[in-house]
Amino acid sequence: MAYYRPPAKYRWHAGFVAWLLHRITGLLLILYLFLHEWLISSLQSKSSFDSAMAVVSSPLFKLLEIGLWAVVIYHAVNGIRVVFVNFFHAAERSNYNINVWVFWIIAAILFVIGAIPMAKGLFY
Amino acid sequence: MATAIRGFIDRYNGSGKTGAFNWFFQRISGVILLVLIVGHFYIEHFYAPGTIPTYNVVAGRLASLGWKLFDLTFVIFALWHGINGIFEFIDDYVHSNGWRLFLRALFWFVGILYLVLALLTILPFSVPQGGING
Repeated sequence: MAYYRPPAKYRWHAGFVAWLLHRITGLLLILYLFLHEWLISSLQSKSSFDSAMAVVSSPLFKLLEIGLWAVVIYHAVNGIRVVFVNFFHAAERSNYNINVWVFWIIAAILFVIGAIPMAKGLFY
Repeated sequence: MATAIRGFIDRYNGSGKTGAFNWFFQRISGVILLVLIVGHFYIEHFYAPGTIPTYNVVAGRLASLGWKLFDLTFVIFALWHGINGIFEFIDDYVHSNGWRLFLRALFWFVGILYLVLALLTILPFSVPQGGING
């Protein structure tokens, strides 16, 4: 099977890292969606639902929930960057790398804003 | 010349094989999902921090048509966006025609299965006896 093999090596500039993380977080999110919907749909009775919710309200799962928030917010904010790259000239030679960093900082700020109430939930 | 152009049009116009619609709708669904995920995270994770979402609360919410529509819209867009993302992976990394066909068929099947599962899970909820706080 003949297919295109890029001749150049990958270079670890910001845009490449952003793209790689977008792929990884995207894969994590669709796998999480499959798991999430399967679990929720299997909890049809009050007793099974409430006992499962007691398990996922443990500190370990609260930490994983903060991790999920990080994955979601990265994929969401970088996805907006992709739309800006595609439609609003955010990938010009003069602005590309700085744009990546701007969106990373926006993602970091939104992550912290969401993670604070979630982290408080750890200590209830 | 004319037949060459005609062949080109037949091959790429309206055949759905260029992937142009999938590419474009991946952006559109992504922006729509951004709005939906904010609502989902707010109501499920931030609205009442520290409290456990009980069956009665969730079932009471899902008894309303508005939340049924919200959750179904969310799950349909998320499944389409996620599985189209998997198709992008297949296009990029799977180079054998047999495996491509197998994996595409598999995730079409998984997608339809999960869509049916979502409908079966979300649609039957009505207000339980004793009210939503009972």
